[in-house]
Amino acid sequence: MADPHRPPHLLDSLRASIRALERPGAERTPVVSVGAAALDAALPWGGLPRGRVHQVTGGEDGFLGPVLAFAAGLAGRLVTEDAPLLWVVQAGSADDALYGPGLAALGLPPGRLLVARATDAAEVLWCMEEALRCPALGAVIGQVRSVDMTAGRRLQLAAEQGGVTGFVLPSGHGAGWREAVPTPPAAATTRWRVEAAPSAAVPWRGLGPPRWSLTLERCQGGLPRSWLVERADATGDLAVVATLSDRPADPGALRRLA
Amino acid sequence: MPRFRTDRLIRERFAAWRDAPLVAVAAVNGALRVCGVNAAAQASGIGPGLPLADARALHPALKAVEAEPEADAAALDALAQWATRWTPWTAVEGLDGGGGAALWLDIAGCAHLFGGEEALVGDLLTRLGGLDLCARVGVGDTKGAAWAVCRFLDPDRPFAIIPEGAGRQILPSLPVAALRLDAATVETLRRLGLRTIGDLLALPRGPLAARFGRTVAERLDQALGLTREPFTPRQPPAPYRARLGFPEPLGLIDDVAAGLVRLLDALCARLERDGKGARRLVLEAFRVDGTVSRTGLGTARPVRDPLHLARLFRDRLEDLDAGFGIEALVLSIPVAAPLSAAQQDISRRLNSPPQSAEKQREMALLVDRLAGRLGAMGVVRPVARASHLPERAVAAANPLEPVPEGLWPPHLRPLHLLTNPERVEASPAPPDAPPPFCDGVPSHLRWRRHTLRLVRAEGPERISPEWWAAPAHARDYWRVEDAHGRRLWLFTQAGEWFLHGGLA
Repeated sequence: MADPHRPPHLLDSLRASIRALERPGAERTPVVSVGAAALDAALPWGGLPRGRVHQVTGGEDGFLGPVLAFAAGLAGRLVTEDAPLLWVVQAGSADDALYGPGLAALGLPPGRLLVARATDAAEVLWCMEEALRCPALGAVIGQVRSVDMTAGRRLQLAAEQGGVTGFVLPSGHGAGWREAVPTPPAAATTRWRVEAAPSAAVPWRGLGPPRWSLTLERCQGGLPRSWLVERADATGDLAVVATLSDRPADPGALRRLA
Repeated sequence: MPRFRTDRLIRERFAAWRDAPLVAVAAVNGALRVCGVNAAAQASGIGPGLPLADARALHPALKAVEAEPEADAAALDALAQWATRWTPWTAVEGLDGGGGAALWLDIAGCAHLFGGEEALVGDLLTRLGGLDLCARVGVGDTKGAAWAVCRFLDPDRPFAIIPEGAGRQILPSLPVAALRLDAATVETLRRLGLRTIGDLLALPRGPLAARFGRTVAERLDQALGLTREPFTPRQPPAPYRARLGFPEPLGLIDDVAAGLVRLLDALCARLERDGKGARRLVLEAFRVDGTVSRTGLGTARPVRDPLHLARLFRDRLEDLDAGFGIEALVLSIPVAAPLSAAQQDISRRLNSPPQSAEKQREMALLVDRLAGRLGAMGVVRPVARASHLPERAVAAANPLEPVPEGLWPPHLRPLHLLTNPERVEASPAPPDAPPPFCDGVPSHLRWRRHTLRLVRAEGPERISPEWWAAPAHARDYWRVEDAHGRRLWLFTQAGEWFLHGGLA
């Protein structure tokens, strides 16, 4: 006989025990907030799991600004003065243009950021693997055009061993544009796609907070979702504006409002 | 320098006791005994070897300082180095129990550069006096003669020089103690009525050697120049270098790694004693066919942890070509830098707790491993530099050095900054366009193969060029957003539009 006043946490605890059966150890995974409660709730861990490798890609147009900002914002929540971020780029490539003042505004001041400049893509992966094994780091970001399954697994194992969170980003092509090469799937725990979206009009002459269309494309034990988010420049927090289905996809509508 | 120990103490720490009695004391068999006196204490009748209690009875206001033999030896060594201004060959004679010390200077062939022996000695004494060191100089043909005249000839003058070949005439009048003999032998000779060197010279050699052993005869010959006495100059500090030979040639990396660990242990112990850490290491493998294979690495900060260095070398050992086998390994540290306990406190900030030693070590190891493969500038920390020009506001710093103070102003800046701003084709907006396009912001941009229709813009932020650098026009920076929400950082300079970076 079902009790209509069954405490609501019973369902949660049942779900948790099923999750524990499906993925042993997942319950104890330490997490970091993605930046908004609604996004955290969509992930089976209640946040982005630490000590794993995540992938962030851009849209078809290849504009990387939102990708870099989203990953830097996530890393900014993971690092401290004692556990900095290591950002691995390919020396001499377009990625090798990371700009400290911009990153500092996203929670990565000089005390929390190291940049490694590798000579080729294979060395980027080597650096990432070495860094993911080093528990003195808070997070590792690597920009590489493609990660095959083997390299992806290696990174994942290194991250689990060192307890460091890794992010694989596509390689860029000047001012944040990457060449429009589709990034193949890496063996990442989650994969996100971040694309620029037209921002809302503001009553003053200028730019409001940037908006991104954020898609959770792949998530172990979770379902793909997408959101339209707005990033607060001051705090770096994200706010879900509305789901894509609830609003006109035509950016022209917004402009008419402005 | 009969009062070297007290002279050093007065010079370094006790300047007020220059004319007041001061003694250095050391524990001998559980009792404090005097082992160095200054001139004022000596005038009160206090001498080396006296118990401190007796010395205090002689002079109640006496200042007693514990002797520091190691600091004395270091000071004497430094003095020997300093004395190379007169001759390249200097040596430390050592400290004696009474607080005195002596140096050897081989001035053969050097005296004429200073206007003769007397002028050289005068210069030497003047400069030692300037260092507040009481000294007496003896010059002779042999080490023995110089030692003897320094201590026993003309005690009223600050120096004694015996002309070349005059040893045989002058030395016989000196007491037997001038022969660098130990106190017991001198006492025995005195009891036998042999008071001067001349008395000894008169005796037949055979019975002399039979009665006192070879020492007395040898010292006599050395003083008179009848036998050779080598002069061993002070050596510069030995380089950090260790060698390990193998009875059988090695061919396996694991064996080489095991040998390397032993070399690292030996050298790191020496580094620790000297308070230093390695910055560069070179490993040479001597192969049986007579060739050498070498590899090396550098560290981002001074290191003397054998484990750390062994892990750094792990990748490098593959560079060694064993050939037919390695029969010896030589590890040298060409560059070492001071590494004090204080310096191990890396990246400590005022408001954060000190990083644990283990974490620091992991971090240093990672940086060294990455830098070993990527090159010295492979791992950097971008830090702030005081400049308004965006491209000049960042400097690269060593990731293991403490982070310098100073941050960038809180303006919105791109995450990527193009090294060279790229010119974009700008289509001017129609004159009746709404703000901000009426300020000259273009409505369309063409950059490479992308065409962007701008819908919003914010600016301008005017950045003036640095007048001390090359003259240039001021730049007006704009943050713009296109119809798809992509944000860029543009500037206009002298009517042209440039792309400088991508915004979030």
